[in-house]
Amino acid sequence: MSGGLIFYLSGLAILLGINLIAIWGLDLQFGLAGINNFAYIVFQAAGGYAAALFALKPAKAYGSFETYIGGFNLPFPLPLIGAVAVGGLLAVPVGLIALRRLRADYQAMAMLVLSLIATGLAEAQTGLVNGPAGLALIPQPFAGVFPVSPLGYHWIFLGLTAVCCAFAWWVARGISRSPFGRLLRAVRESESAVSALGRNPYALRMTALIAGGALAGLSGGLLVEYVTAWGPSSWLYPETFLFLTALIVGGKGNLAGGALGALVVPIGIVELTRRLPAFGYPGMIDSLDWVAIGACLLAFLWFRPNGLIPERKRVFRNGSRRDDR
Amino acid sequence: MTFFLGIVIFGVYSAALLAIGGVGFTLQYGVTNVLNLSFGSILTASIFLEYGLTGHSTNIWIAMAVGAASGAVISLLIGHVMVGAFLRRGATGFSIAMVTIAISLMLQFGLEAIQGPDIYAYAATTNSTMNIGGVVLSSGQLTTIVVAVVAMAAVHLMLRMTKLGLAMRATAADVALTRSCGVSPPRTRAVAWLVSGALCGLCGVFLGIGEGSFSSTTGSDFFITLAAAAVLGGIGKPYGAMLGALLIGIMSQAAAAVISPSYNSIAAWIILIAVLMLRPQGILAEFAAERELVA
Amino acid sequence: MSGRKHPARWPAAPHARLALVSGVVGLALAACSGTPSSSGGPSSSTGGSFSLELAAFSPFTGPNAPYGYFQYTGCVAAVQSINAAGGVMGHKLDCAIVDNRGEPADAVPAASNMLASSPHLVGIVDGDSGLMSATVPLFNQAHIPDLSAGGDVQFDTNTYPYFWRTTPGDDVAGQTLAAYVKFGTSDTRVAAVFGNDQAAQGNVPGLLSAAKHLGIDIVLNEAIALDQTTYETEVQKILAAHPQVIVTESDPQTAGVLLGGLKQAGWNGPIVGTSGTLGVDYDKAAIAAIGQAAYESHFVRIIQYAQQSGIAWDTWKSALLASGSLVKDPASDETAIYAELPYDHATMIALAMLAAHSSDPVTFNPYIEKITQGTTVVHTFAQGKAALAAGETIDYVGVTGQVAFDKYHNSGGLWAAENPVTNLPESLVSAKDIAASEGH
Repeated sequence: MSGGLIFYLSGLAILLGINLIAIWGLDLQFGLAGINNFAYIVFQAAGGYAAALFALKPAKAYGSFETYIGGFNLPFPLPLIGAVAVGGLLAVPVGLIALRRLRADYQAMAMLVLSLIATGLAEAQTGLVNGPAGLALIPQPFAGVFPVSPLGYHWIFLGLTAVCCAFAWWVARGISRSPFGRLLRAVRESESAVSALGRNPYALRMTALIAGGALAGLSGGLLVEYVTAWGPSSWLYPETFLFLTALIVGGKGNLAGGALGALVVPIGIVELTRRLPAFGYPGMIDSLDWVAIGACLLAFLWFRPNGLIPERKRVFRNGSRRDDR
Repeated sequence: MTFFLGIVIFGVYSAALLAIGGVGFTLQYGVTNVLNLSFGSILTASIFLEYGLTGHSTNIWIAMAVGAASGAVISLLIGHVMVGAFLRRGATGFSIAMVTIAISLMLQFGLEAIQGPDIYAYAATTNSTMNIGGVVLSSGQLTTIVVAVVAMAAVHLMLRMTKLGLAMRATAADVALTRSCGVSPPRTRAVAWLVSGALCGLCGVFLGIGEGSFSSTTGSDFFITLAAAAVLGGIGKPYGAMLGALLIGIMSQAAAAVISPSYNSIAAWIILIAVLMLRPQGILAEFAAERELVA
Repeated sequence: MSGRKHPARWPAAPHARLALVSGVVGLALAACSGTPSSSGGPSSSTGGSFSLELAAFSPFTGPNAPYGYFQYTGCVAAVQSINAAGGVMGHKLDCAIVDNRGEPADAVPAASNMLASSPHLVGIVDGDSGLMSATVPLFNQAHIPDLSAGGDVQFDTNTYPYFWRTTPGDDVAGQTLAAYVKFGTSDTRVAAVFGNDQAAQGNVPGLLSAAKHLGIDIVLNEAIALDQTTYETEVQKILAAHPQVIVTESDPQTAGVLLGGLKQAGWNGPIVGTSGTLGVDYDKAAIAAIGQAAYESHFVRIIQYAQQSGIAWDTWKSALLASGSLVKDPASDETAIYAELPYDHATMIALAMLAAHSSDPVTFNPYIEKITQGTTVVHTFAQGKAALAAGETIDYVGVTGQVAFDKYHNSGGLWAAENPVTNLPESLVSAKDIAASEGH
């Protein structure tokens, strides 16, 4: 196996990890709690920007070609922690706006528009995060600490990603199996029943939104530190559909389904189309990717709406609280 | 004075564009209860079909007819056939929205794959212009406004005077009751897809002609603002959509003039969010519960 | 190239960031199998001998895709000439498309992959100023010379040894606009109407500061939102300021509506566009809005200028034609500066290798400058090769003119006000004028 191929595959593995975290986060919101978060990409973007703004030096240090707020030049792991925090915090205003008792598709529309407003503002207010051009020269964790080749650094970053994946898995699994997770599923199925039990469905949903947002932030922070650059064109609203498709294809409400979805949709579909010999104009394959994603989504919604690995039904026998696994 | 007159008149022009599409969108949403996120792609597809079928003909009547017909056919295929299949299986709300998203991705990027990312332009016509109190309107823009008014009047007449219109209003209000009156919901819905598609195609034609050029993203760019107008006025209320279009059209022009041109679209979106938050049933609708908007 | 990174409108080009390789897997597979290939480049391996790779690292998808195409076209034409003249030290050259997709999250992985998987990569031609700050450090770290046509202002004071640029930064583009108005026209009242995207706005600071130095009056500086259905309010504002000339850059769709609105409101004066208005789509939209006659008579484009005569020009033209189906439209590409620049860049890389007697980038990188400082002036690769073989030092003056790198590895160019359709210069903006606009 040549060095080039190993480099490529290790990079792919890093992206898989980043997508896993993001998809598990969305699963908390969408799969468990039934929130139709069409603005999910904004959470990841916010985490990404947070990590960037915490890790970059003040804008003046780079001449005047980037203008942005912040720039605290914090060392690892503070930018990532900041990313997690910002992702979670963003959930609060979003939840206040869109978690109202709106009909499902109205809620989806509201989220979609929030996503557009976010992109619009980021581009219009250039002083915020350097507008449409985006941020660059973002410092990487452990950069320069170990004298390694680019491939060597890939392995280091892959290690970091794996650790974060494990953390995300632990969080998502913990929530899913906990009483809180059961309540979320209950809210998804019947809000009135949950209210009758004396619980506040709105608060429950908000918590799910925050937890999912935090994971999205972690994913964004990692992505930005890997790529070292970030801009609005990287987080347009259709990216959310990509994650949703992954969940619908892989199966929501369970971690294995999310993982399978991450493998199949972001990595699988795009890489499969790479194998085709180049034809048409250079960007044609890119357009066809999206056609394929749409077709895949449609096919799954028709044939297997619960995904490849459906959520396991939880059964309680004899009134005991033991979950049947 | 010309400045303010300009804001109003061009606000009306923007509103005309928004209204044609917005009324189509709200009619379809109201009658079929489906949030059709592929509406923008249908718009784009209509422009492409019209351009492809009529060549570069700038005869406005032919363009209108072909555009409307294209939109109607595509909309019927998507709405009645594809979405309808999912509906018959019992899919609801969010799943249907995802279905329309899937269709929209396929349609828009399919168009891009076939046509390329290039821009297509209409041949320049020597536009005659009309001067209203110092503000100059092109004949194309004037036509847009006139056609919009005529289309709105036609929709109004259809809804009020024809049996079909009555069936549509009834289906929008209460499906079960309508069915028990012997009106066929599927047939009514099919007509709603047709009519809304025709309006969509018509909107596309004027959008393309008005901007002078179009590409595979034209429809999607326009869609959310159009949806904002519809939601603002109340889903299922065509008059609401007209009012919403007028408000958004004039407010956008004013925002561009007063705040900053960059905030043009953002202003429209913030209005939409505010409406969804405070009064999701829209300005003209009476009850939110009636449409089960609030769970 | 001055960065034409117009913001991707929704969903103009939602790029799955996960697609980290686009043309590059081709290179990766190639590395595996040992046969150099590319998505579309001329196949060139001949029995055991490998090809030297040049990468056209640019956007090939998204709103700036036309600029990627220009980069590739220039590269391909150069490679055609070079291979026809016998290649470099027995090796043919090959052009690979590497799509940076116009956005950072895909560009950086694409760049990393390209660098890691191409054993015979000897040079890069790039042209997307929005992404330079993210990708040039990578190229430099890998010791691969990058000859750029991108306008990122940060690189005006570049310190990367492997970075070379023969086009000025976007700030100079702004100054050139002012210089043209001052020295090429008799107008003094200017309205600046630029799209609110980074690339267009990049012109504004240079324009404003140069205007101050030259004593012209910017009566209005308006950043307009892109892709609106009408610009009536903006047009009214513009006319109310009573400018004599309007200076503008925006994407084609916006331009169509804006120019149409201006015409409708009675504007009959000159319009000056930046190099960001170069492209078939812009022309189409403008012609649709105001008609070709008006476009040609009222609109000029201030852009880096290449002579349309002489040996270099003739060779360039025939190279385009000889490249067959790889070049979409030779007739219109021949005057596209953003195709001519990479043509010269690729040629310079090849000549540098010859002069250094080495295809190792670390060795021949310094020669990129040396081949523009010698005694024998040459205009084509073939001439250069012959002169070097005869032991002379060369000064390559290609289709884009004399190159003179400063200590930052930047070289300015000639500028002209060109007819937008024919690309013929109507007047030249001299270096002296530009210097005056900088306050010298």
